[in-house]
Amino acid sequence: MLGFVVRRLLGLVPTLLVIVALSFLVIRLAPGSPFESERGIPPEVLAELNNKYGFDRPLSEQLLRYFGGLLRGDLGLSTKYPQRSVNEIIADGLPATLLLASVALCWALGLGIFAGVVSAVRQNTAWDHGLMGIAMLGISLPSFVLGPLLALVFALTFYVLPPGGWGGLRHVVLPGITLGSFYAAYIARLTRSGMLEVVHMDYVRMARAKGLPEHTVVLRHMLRGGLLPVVTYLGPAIANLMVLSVVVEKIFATPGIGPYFVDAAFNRDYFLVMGIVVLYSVLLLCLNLLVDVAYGLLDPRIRYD
Amino acid sequence: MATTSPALITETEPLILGSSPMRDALRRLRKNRMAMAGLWVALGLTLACFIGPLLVRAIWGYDYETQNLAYGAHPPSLRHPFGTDYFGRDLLTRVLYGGQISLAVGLLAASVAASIGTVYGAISGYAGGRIDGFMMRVVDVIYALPYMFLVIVLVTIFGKSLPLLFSSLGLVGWLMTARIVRGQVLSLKQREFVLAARNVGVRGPGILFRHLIPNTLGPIIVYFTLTVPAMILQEAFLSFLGLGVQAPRPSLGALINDGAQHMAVFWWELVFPGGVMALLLFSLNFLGDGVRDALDPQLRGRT
Amino acid sequence: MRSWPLALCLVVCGCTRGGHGYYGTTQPKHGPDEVWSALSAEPESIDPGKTSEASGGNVVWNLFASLTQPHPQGLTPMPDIAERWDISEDGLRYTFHLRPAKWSDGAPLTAADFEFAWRRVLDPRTGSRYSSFLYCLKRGEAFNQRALVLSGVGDATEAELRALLEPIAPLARLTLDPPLDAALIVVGGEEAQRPALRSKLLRELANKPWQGRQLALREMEPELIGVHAQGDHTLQVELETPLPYFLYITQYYTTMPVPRHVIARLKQDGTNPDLWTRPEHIVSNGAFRLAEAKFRQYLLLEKNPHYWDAAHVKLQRVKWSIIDSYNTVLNMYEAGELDSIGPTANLPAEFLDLLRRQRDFRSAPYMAVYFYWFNVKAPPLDDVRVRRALSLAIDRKSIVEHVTRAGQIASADIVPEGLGGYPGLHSPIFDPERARALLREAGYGPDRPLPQLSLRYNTSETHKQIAEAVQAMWRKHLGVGIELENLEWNVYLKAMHAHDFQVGRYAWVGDYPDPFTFLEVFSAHNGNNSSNWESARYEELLREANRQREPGRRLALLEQAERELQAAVPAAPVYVYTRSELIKPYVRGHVINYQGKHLLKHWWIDRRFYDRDTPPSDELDHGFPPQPLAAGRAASGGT
Repeated sequence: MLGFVVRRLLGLVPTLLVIVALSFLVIRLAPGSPFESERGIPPEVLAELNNKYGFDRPLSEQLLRYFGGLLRGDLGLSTKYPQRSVNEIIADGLPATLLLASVALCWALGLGIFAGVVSAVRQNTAWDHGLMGIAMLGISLPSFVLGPLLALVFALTFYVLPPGGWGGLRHVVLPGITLGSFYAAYIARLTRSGMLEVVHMDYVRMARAKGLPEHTVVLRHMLRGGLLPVVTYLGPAIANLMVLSVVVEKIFATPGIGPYFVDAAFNRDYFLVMGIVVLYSVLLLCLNLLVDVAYGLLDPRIRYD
Repeated sequence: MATTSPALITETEPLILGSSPMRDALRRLRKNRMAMAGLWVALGLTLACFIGPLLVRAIWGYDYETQNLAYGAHPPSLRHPFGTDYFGRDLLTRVLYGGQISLAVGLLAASVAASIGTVYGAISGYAGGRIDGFMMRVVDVIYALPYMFLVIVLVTIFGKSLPLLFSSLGLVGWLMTARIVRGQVLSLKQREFVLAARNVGVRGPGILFRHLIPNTLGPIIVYFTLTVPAMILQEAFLSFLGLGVQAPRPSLGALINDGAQHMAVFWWELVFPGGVMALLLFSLNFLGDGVRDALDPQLRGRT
Repeated sequence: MRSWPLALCLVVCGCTRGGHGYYGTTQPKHGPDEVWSALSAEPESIDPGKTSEASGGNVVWNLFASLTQPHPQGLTPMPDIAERWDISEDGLRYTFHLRPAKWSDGAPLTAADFEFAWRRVLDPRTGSRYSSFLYCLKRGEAFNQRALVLSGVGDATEAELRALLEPIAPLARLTLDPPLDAALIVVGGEEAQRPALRSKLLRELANKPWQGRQLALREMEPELIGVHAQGDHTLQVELETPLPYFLYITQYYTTMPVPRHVIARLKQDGTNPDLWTRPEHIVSNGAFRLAEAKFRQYLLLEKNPHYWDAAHVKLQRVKWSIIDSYNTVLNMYEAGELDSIGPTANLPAEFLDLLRRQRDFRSAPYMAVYFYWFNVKAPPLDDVRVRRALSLAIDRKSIVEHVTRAGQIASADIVPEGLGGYPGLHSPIFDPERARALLREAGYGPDRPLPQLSLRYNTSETHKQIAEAVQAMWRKHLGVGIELENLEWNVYLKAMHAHDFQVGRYAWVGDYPDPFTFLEVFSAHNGNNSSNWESARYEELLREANRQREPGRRLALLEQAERELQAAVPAAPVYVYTRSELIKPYVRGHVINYQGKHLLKHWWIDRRFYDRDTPPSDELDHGFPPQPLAAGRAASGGT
């Protein structure tokens, strides 16, 4: 197992290099320049700005300089916010996005697994149909509908929670629930089907035959089967979650990285876009690794070598 | 060789006694009431979306873009069953047209994803060894790129058009299919029927297209049916960012987005498109579930 | 999601909100000395010399003070750091007498700070996007373009000197500058090659005997710009040409001083001097100072005790949250998390019918014009009849009443009426008959329809709505099909500047309340003129107008210029903006002025709202004698 992990980590580096190079080229292909403004800039000033950021050098040289910067941990300067470096901007926004993602994930896992277990155990009863019906609803409702609905009820009718902004625990509730609900629904379905898949397996029947109490059978034996598909799903789920957080952050004015990315792409803020791409890529690659490791731990049939 | 995420679906055992797996699957599907309900509702909605606008035009004479600025937004009435939007456009027509486009986007994008993914995954799985490793590494790389970024850049470079939209969505969606198909092919390629075919002299492409891929159809179909609603949602997501279908063409996603913003004052703008989309996704999801259950011989507690 | 229970829910919800006539709660959620407002974007820069967009601008307005300040309602220049000023007969020389003032760290504020700031804006190394604002100063433009000074020219003519330059720098521009006994040379050609060309010129002509004179070429030094500090409290300004509206320019943030001592200290410490605007370093001279800045979350301003007029400032603290979505701003206002929607947010059009009925709604004209460029070099738009037909076929009243619905003024004029006393042309705003006749005249008809045109606009809900309406109008009245293309901001700007469009949406916000600010957009060498249209007669009229000292004569000439403009139809104006805002009844001292500026130094909180609900009055109470808008149009309060 350890060998596997080490090999994967080493494999990360060339993958990352390719991703960075590819993204760099693709971004620079897009038309437009970061210094367009409605007023039109005097040419001398434009030349000065291009020089400062190195945009007047050939592309290959720029790429190499960027790699050099990456090795030093320096992600470059933002063109839109000249007195902040990309490192600082990401450091500013990352905590909010991570907090939001964590809350959403906890909500998704907690509610989802719980609902899935109840549904599987009480299969074909009213509980089952009801919970799965709600889960279906959760999957079919986009976050930009759910968000405003929740805000309408909790913030504007009952003035209980703020409809936006950031600053305390109460600001995380609505965005977190909005972001996590889709995944909660999906995870509920996965848990349920996973558990039902193993309910006929020999080892479960064995546990029952041994006379173990029902909840032990459920929690210790069936749950593992239920968690397997959830764990597999977690990798793409978290990736999707980070992307979906853009919408939620926009609705609730959460100061995370999501809106940066969209704005940066629109403004051709090259270094900021690259910085976020690098960040996401590293996160996703590590996540996939973690998921594979977890999968191996959960399912004794899988062997990595 | 490290495995990537294994397929969620177990393999299909060929049944004996003169009944093909497909026919058995269909039989199981037909017995599944929720799935059949989903199928009929989805078909009904599709029909409504494509024929409905003609009917509406016959009865009331509306189309999806004629504005009636002076009339403005009004709640549902006999004159306008779904109400009107801010420009005085009839919402019923717009919802139906929007449904057309959402369905088209969903089906086409899912088809593109399924086709590319299947071929890619099958080749990768069959080839095995270094080629497989390399191809899957490419998948990992593309997987790690935030998809939205790709779409934004693609759309900005090449301009906004419907075919481009389908392709962008599909291009990003084929990765999962590729992985699943590869997993399937990996486990199938050691089976007897493949060895038999090879002994008879069938070459690589023949084995791929005539033997392996047909046997992976199960998961592919399932994934396809579940991808369509996902693609519809993605398009809605893009509309939120202003990158989806362009005005004045409606899409369900764009309609819902507008409605959500104004729901405090114009509730019908959210309720009707949202209801239709939810109904569509509901039915497609139930259908997808049913298809998956039908193609899986291990009965999940239902007969 | 089943429709009826949800609908019922929403109806019930609708009934329980805002019962007492205001939108949302009227209980302040903070103490009586602070205000919570909003900005739509993180300011790109709060360095007065570098700011170029609305968010940064609004922060700078409240942090820094310039020579003059705008009257909060009428925007006329009133003394700020400058106590009084003298203007020479020919309108070229201004002498400002500064009062004793301090920076927020206690250091003295002198004329040298202004001199430093203005030279810095014009220095290309600063990278100031608004440097063209100070081109009115003598030799300002030349300095910004890295001009070289060729001294010792005596009575040589331009032609002779140009012949001298021909072999080395054929594309250079040369202007004689008699007071210096020199000529100013700006090299032309490719950006990348200019530094090399300059060096070459300097080498060749550094010391050159020529036709009996001794020529010497050197780089232009900043002292040659028309701004000089004389002592600590006098600032001498020299202009290139007389500008009747120069005092308005002295209100603007580009002319605000920057703390030399802080920048110098940072340079000495080895820190990047550009970081002087960070909260830990920043020092300002206005009504407020920056206490805290959390990137993309909020900015916290605190009252500056060293401001010369600190006695007049009643707020202790201002919190500006940064919120991107207008809907969210509206929601937060409703919930009481904001006291005002802020100077940069707009009220979503769909809510206007509801909001207009609320007591905290305010609306006033805003000095900006919404229009569509025509690319006069792109057929079929190269025919002026086609352009006029398109312009006449826009039902502006309908757009203003049914699409934007915020009380905008339908107008087909480039210059809004009332600016500095300008009467306005009042061109016809909708005439479909005449439009169709013009098209026929131009040779288009049912058998030869007008080809499809493309209309480009930058991504925004409002622009989309207006564009869709115009699209429908042009089809209905002229039978012409329009393809709408929405480009995101960056691509859109590039397209406009590169003339890569047929019809393009644009808006121009006036910089000062004078018709010239709108007319100069259509001037040939203005980088913002996207239409490809130019006219020598138009330029001459503009120049002639600015030479007039007598305002009546000047306005008459400007009117002639606008007629010239309207005859050529390089653009189709649609409406004059209004600014609509919501502001809590317990906030006083706020007036929507023609530039929509939020001048927080005049605001104060009415303590009565902490006890019970009080109906608002129309008291302005900002401490200045009341003054109508420069537009001659009174602001309308809430209903």
